[in-house]
Amino acid sequence: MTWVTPSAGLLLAAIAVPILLLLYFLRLRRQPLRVASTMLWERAVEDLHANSPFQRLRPSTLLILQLIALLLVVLAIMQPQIEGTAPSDGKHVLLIDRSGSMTAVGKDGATRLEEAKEKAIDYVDQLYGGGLFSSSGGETMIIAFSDYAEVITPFTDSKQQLISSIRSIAPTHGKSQIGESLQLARAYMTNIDPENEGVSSSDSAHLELFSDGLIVDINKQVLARGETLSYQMVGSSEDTNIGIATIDAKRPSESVEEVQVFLSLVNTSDNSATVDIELSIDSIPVGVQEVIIPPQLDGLPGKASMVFVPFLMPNSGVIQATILADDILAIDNRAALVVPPSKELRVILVEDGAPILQSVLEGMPLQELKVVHETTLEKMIQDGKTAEYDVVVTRDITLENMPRGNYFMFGSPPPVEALQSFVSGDAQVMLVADEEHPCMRFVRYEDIVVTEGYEVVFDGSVQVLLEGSNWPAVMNYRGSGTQLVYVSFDPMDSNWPYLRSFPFFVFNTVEYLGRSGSQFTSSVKLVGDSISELVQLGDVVQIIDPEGVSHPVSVDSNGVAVWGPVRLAGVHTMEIGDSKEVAYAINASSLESEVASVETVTFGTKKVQSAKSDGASYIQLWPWALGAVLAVLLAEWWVYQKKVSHPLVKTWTHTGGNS
Amino acid sequence: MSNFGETLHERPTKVDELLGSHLMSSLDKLDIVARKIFSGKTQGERRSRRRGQSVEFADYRQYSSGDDLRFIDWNVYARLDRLFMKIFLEEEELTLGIAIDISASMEYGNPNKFDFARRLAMALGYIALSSHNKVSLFAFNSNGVQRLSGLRGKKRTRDLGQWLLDLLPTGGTDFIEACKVISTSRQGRGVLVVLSDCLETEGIKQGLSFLVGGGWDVFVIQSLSPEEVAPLDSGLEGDLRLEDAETGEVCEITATAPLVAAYKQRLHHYCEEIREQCTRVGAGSVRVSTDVDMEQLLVEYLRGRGLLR
Repeated sequence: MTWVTPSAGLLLAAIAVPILLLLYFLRLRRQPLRVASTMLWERAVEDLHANSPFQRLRPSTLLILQLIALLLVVLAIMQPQIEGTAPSDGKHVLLIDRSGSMTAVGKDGATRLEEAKEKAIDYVDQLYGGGLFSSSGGETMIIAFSDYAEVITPFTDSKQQLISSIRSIAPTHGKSQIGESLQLARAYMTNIDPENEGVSSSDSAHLELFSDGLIVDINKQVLARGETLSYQMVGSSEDTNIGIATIDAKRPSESVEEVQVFLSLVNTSDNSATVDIELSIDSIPVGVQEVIIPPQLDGLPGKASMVFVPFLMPNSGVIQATILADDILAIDNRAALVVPPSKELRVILVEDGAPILQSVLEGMPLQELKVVHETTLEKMIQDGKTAEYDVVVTRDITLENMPRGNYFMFGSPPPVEALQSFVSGDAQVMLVADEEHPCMRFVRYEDIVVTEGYEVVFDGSVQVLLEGSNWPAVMNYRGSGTQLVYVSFDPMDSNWPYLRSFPFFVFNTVEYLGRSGSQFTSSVKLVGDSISELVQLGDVVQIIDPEGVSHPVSVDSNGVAVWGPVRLAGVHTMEIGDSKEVAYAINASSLESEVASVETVTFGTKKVQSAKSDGASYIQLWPWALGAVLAVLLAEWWVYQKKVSHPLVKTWTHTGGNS
Repeated sequence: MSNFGETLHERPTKVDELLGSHLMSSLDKLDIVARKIFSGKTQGERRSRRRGQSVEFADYRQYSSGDDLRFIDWNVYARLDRLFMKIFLEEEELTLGIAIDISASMEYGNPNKFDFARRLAMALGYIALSSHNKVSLFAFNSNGVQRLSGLRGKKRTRDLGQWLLDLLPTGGTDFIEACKVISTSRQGRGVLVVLSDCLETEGIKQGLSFLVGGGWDVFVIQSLSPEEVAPLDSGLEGDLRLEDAETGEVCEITATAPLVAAYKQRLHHYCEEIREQCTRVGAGSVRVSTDVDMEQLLVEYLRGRGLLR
């Protein structure tokens, strides 16, 4: 509690309290009255026997009440105020974290999200609780956030609406990001004044954050001018967790019908943990393996990796790994992966000139390599026959159109709007490559020299895989059901065909394009991602989430069914038409495995302690003190009236005595 | 100084103002009643202990020479051959004593207690004089006892009135000493009416004992003003510094209902105590408020109490 003007109050107390006491010590100035005899009065009266100016101070209810009233007035003048969750007028934005870590279960059996919702309801109760000196509470807005933000209720002063909205907030398994929430809040706070030529005015708001503090981007946020922030922590800073951080799998090159699964696990406790991991395929357990996860060190979680022995899995299926132990966070105790069936690629090739690409492709383990003429390819495109092949490879061929499919093109620019020919490119060497991309794996590009090519301009949907000294040399494009890797020069105009990196690049690219959409890594999605699938126009598509709830999915004019962002971790099944089903493994972000609540969040450069404000918001107590003064004065009046009230005076008869 | 209790009524300055003609006519048919039989010096209208010439037989005694032969009972002489004298009760006059408290405490109230006592004394004296009784007046305070004795006949009514008008209430009350003086006076025995507010802390019972022992048939009329009986109804309010009219003692009060209720409780107990003391010594008592109608008091109350008939 702080005092705004303590000196004024103390000064008043120093003057008024002694005066009040002195008044009680001093005798009243009474009006003299001559009576026949004081004999009977003396026996009845209380305050007799004092010839001195002072009398003994006797216990008096009135004195006590007056002292209380005086001290309350002094208190009010000192203007006490308490810092903290200060419901007041103006705009309030309740930011409720519903990320994956908020599903952690506390000791009382309630999740953190439920705890946060209760706290938010309490806050709304304080705002609109009513009372003698309560303010109107202003307007309040509720935003729930995880990896995306959602306005649950725009600004309103309806308490019931706010409470029911808070109760309706459902958990997600996404990671926690607050930036979008702040943008939404500020957008709602900005008012456009139509009478002032559309000039916008923005009210400052009080942000009330209900979270465990594990917010990815909170350090990047800055409070706007006039904004204040309070933070109410949920959960405990002592909470620990064991979870699966990543899951991966691959088919060994020596045996494509087998699958090998890789897991990484984290431990946020101070003690090492020994847990059993169960692996199942399509919900059928295939093995259990023990792993020891070291304790956290210097605030970083302990990590352990494990590899399961390869097992036979020629067909597709859902691999799921489960930690056979209970902890407070369940969503990261399980991770899944959809494994497509092993297959060999079918490639169609159109090459103008020396068959350098044909030579490379013939060395690959392909199911089919079909080498055709340019006109044949055009006809196959028109007939839709190219859809039967996994990759279409062309060299210096100009296509009229490109139906959906995977294309690997050299030389002449493809008919894609995102890539437009500008000028002929000059000779150049290669400077930078995206070595992380699967196409560029093991590709040494430093020795490549190109004499001429196509300098293209492109939009943001194009990813440059290899950048030359003058123009981009290799680009990757995905869009409208088409995936393309484009090399903007003819290999014969360079020394690349004579370098060892060329066959690596061709092999990588054909494998990348051919297995795109069915590779293990691309089948792993995180909460917050979207699910998309190419379907036939007219198909009825729906998603069945891990809780068994069905969600209809709309299909666009290109036949792409998109659903998202995904809210829950687990296996989602897309039902296409009456017969086809596609499984998607959605895993929680490894960031959510950290569950120890943070007592102080750093908002930009400002540190905000849990359950405390940033210092700009206070509850003023002086109105309550004045209200108490009123109550005490009423009590004092009542006591006084009880003392001096006139009861029914018994009529005195004129006569009496013995008869 | 508050004017609470201050006499605002017109004060009597003439004998006629003490006893009006209308009241006088009402009193003509009343007489003083003594509960005891007394012996008077002169023949009066009531029985006396003294054997005399009335028609009511009392006793016999032996004849001695010189006795009036008219009172010899010849029938007894015929039967016993001895002379016996018939003795008859002689009717004698009654002495009405009126003792008025003229202490300073009587000079209080509306109507004034002292004026009330003077009017009542005047009325009782008139009744007594009209009935051929002797009237003796006593006025007492701490300074002593004033007296006016031997009034007989209606013609002395004016003397009675003037004596009352000349009284001046002052000083304190010494009830015991006053009673001693009155009881030892040789003014005759009879009915003594004490007119006082009885605001005496001590000595009421002892004083009355002296009077009763002296042969008086005592009747105490305690008069209190409305201000003393119901202070709140009479306008008592505020924080007051009460000053005793006789002793000068000071008492500070705040006129609140609980305090006044306590005062009235005390007053009630005190008056009951006076009544009990009167009863114990064989004296009659009556308590009146000074705002009571005088005719009603005399004709109804005092008649009812047996002082008048």
